[in-house]
Amino acid sequence: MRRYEAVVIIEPDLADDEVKALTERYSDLIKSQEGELIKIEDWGIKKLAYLVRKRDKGRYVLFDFVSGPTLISELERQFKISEHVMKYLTVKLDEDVNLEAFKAGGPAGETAPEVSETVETAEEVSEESVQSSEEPEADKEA
Amino acid sequence: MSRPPRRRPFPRSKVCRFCADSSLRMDYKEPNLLRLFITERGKIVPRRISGNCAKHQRQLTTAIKRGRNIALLPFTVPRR
Repeated sequence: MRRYEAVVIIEPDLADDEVKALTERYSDLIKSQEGELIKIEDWGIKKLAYLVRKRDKGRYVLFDFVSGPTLISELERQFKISEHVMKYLTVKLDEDVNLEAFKAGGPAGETAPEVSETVETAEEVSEESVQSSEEPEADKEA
Repeated sequence: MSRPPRRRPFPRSKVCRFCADSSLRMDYKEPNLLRLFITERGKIVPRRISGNCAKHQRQLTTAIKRGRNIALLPFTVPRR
């Protein structure tokens, strides 16, 4: 089992309950594949550093979870299908997580996840640059 | 006419900020920290200027690139 983190940018004008439904769908998906959800963080609506789908704002939601590698492709497929997901990024935080040990220590003390996070072994699982290629014409300096 | 080779001095902080302060964590989710290490045009500040050590510069680069991917940091800042 591996520990992953997925940041998803959802359209900013989506109503709160719709966002909730959307995040619920993804967390259900994670759980359905024997994944263990650690936390969901809603960062609220933030300004984007560049336009994505001609919008300059987006709602950031972070999923922190433990799962096998096969879940990721399915999860990202779902992200791609959804019209409301503007952009996403999945990062592997930890290569080898023992789920049983994690569950035992997980809910009781929040220290376990923190420790593994400092281990900077994270590798990009995938970087989706849906929009980025046609983003601002690279340096117009000359 | 040959000019004497002259090293141009550049302002440099001597120590790696991440080594000096271990509480600083490299994280693509913290754009405000990473912003210190990109120029106003959005480029990553080279090591010789920022004074980072090699290890932390590497971590910094991946963090910045991840941040760019998820629109927390700009790829470029277009000129007005």
